[in-house]
Amino acid sequence: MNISILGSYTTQFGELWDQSLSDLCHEAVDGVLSDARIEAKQVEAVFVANKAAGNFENQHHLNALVSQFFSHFPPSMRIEGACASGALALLAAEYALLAGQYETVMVIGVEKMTDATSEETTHILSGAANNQNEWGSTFPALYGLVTQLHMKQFGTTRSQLSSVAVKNHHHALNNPKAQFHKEFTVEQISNSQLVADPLRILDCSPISDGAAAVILTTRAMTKKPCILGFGHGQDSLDLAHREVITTFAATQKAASQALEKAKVAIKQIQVAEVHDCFTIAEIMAIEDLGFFPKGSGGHATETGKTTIGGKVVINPSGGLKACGHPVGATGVKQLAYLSKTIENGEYSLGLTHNVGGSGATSVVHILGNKKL
Amino acid sequence: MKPAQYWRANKEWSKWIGRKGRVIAATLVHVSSPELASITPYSYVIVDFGKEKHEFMGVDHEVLAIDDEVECVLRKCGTPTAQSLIPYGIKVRKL
Repeated sequence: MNISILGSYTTQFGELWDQSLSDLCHEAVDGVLSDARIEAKQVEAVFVANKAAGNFENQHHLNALVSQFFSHFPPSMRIEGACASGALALLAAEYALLAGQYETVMVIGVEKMTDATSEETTHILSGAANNQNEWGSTFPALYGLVTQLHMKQFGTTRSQLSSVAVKNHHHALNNPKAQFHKEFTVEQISNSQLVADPLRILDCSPISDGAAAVILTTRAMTKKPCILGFGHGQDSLDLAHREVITTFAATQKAASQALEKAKVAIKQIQVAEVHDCFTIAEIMAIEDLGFFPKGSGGHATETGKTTIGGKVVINPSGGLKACGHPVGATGVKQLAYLSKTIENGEYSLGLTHNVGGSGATSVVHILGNKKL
Repeated sequence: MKPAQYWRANKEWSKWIGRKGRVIAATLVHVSSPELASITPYSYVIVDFGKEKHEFMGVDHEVLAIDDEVECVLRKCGTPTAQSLIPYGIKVRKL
């Protein structure tokens, strides 16, 4: 695979009342062009990731909205796959590059969520479930079911769930773009308000505004991080129709494909940005990706194996939990964040993991500082 | 729920009403979408019917747990506005 990450940029994540959807896109486009040090006209195509601007802002046709920021109006398309929209847009861009259609493209992910009430947001996000077969479900409710089964089957504890949030809020202190710069204790997480039993408000990623962008190229680049492999897995949208509920088969499939393409073993990965939309989601991710045996993700987190100095650093950005989760931007932000840490020499091999809905869609990328 | 969606959904009711199963996962929803906000907290469960599994809401204010035996019933499943249909659908109640 011969795709380099020429530039990356992430806006501030948070409640950005003074910035519109268009403002966020504009900032991300300008920022990534500046970081990549290329002229706008060198961007041959744009891939826009977004889940629900039509619901949140009554703004559809985002491909044209972003293309008009360029004087040459590059061809552009919008990709939606719930919370995995960002990584799916990356995949679409990568397929176009590998097919030889383009040499240099931009991928931008964006979501403007905080203009809606929390109830409206709950309703909009529940559109990621099967609205015919899962009437009455909410995103936290579906993950609440998964959590309960994981606790029953593997003995995962309340304090292990909380330790995920504690760690990610601690990591976010070092990320100036993160939505939250505040530490929490296990007790504070464990005693916060119930949302969907056993998940509490501080188990949940927040409602966020934000955008992120990367420029990918097949031009020869020796000093830029590379995409070494990617994988894409799907499973039943209905939780009830899955063979196993406490394992996300889509993640296992995506990880297996990505590692095989990259020709690396999971134990070589030093750092990962995984999809911690809820605390249980990170515990399942580190198990399903293969970092830890099934059922031991909670214990690994609680005993410090997933933070700096541990076996693998999980979510150094703060993850969705503390950096924020502007849904369409998340998958792009994961790649943007990790590529910068690799470019800066902090790590040499990393993994990103972006999930749609309650595990129906999963995309994994492996990136590194050289072609192996 | 739009009238056409409601019409399509009600054709499935007879398939479910009276069926009995066992709860294999249950949560109590405290924060919902606006149309269900008036009935929170409500149970949301996965039920094993033997040959298939399905997700349902529990009947109002009944807290369901794993291993509860339940039966499918027809109940109001949301709060209508002055102009909308009164939404009914399948829920489960404890036996």
